[in-house]
Amino acid sequence: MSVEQVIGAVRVRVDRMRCVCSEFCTYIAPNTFETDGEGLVTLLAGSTDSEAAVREAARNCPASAITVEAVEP
Amino acid sequence: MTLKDQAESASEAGVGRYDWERETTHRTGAGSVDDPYPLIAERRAETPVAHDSFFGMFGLPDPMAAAWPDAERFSTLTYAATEAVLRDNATFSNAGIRRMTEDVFGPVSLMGADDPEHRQFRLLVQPAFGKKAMGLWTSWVKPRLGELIDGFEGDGRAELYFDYCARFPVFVIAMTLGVAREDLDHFHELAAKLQIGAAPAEEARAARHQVEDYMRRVIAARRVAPKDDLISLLIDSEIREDGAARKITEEQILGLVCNLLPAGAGTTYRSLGIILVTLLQRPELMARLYADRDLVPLVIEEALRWNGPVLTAPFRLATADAEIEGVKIPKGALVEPGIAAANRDPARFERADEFDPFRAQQPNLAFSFGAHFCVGGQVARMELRSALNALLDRLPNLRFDPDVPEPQLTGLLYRMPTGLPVVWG
Ligand code: HEM
Ligand code: SF4
Repeated sequence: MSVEQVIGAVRVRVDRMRCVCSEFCTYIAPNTFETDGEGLVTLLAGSTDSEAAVREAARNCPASAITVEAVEP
Repeated sequence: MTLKDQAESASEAGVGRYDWERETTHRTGAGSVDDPYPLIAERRAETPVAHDSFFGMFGLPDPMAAAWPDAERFSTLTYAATEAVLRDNATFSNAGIRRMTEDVFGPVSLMGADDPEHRQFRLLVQPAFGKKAMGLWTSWVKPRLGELIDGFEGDGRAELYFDYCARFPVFVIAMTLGVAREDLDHFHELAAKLQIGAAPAEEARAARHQVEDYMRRVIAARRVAPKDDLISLLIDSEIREDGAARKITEEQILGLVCNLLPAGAGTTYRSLGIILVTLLQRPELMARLYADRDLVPLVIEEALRWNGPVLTAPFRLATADAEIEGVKIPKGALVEPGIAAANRDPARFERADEFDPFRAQQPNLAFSFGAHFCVGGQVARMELRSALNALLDRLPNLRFDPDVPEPQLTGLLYRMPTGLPVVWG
């Protein structure tokens, strides 16, 4: 189970303790986010989603449980 | 009573088959407001946040006024304003609803708690609605749907709202909670009375006490002999924090049960009724759906956006002076998060008033937003998918019964169809 991944030029983190299991992120960026058996978000390895999709997922997360930041070059 | 009489009396008196049910739905605006969206659009064009309650806007007696005679009232009308209020749960607190809902939810409430208490409670119960527990819910849904259709399949016609939609979500919750089958009708009535604003306080309180007494006995039985049900799962729930494990308390379980009954029993069936009326008004779409079941989830999501079963999320109490989209909201004001208004905001959704399952998918606020996002959302979606698919599987060429008046949608706080008389074959 992963809570942090680097995707392209951004680092994505999820805070499982805040997740409300809306599954919005899993629709918007299905290759990056998934909810587990307990109803909490996790990150998938090797995502092919765009940075834009990942940022869109973070913006729409009801629980503000997703953070996206640029990776230091 | 013939189907015709039934449909007529339902639309006259505010929907519902039983007197107690018709009365509760009427109290929340059924029969007095059929389409709230034009007035909402008018007000939204003036301001993102109205300085009024929704009931006030529609000139109806406000069920909250008795508990809050002096509070200033606001209602959000745009997507951005609604999202902003729901995201900031510290400034816009759920705890205010306790003054009204203590009768209904009792002293411990998921819906009426704020962080950090709410979060701890929520983490305890959320697994009961996640993927691992979904099988438990499905195991009650599918057989129930089959059994209901068996009951009318041979007749060639049915009243689907009362005899199908209304008869499975409360059954599913009751069964997962361990209620005995013979007590089901009684439980259904109790669940209806626990809906916010739907029954007078004494009745709501009496209903809660009956549910609690009943559930205490179920909890005691499951402690001795666990079963594959929600109560057994909840009794075992714990969260680990800083190495210490916290177990759910009996009072928390009872609080959750009293939240679950109205939240899950009153919403899903109305939503299914709305979805079916919407589809039957569009025979071409219905035909496409029979042929392509991949459209089922799209239809459901779009119906939840376009005409969800609830107008607002429970109101929020401003804990400090605040400003939302330029509108000043003083400390102590009550704010109604207008999730249905937000879902028709043309700034968020193109052609927002059109029902279009093929539109580009975007999250909507039907299940609310923020820390209190509907915990039963995935269960509700599964129930809606299963119920729609079961009808499509077994009743070909479903259409409105041509011999009775066509049903329509109605209601303010809760939205619903006036009935659903159909024929098939
Ligand atoms: C179409 C069906 C449904 C809709 C539209 C719906 C909508 C909502 C809304 C708007 C809220 C308010 C959240 C807030 O305070 O902001 C809510 C909360 C809740 N719902 Fe649902 N709901 C549905 C079905 C269900 C089902 C089937 C269940 C249970 C099996 C359920 C259980 C709950 C509970 C327990 C809460 C309180 C969550 C919390 O405060 O953390 N709901 N729902
Ligand atoms: S969008 Fe946020 S709350 Fe919803 S599943 Fe993803 S992380 Fe959880």
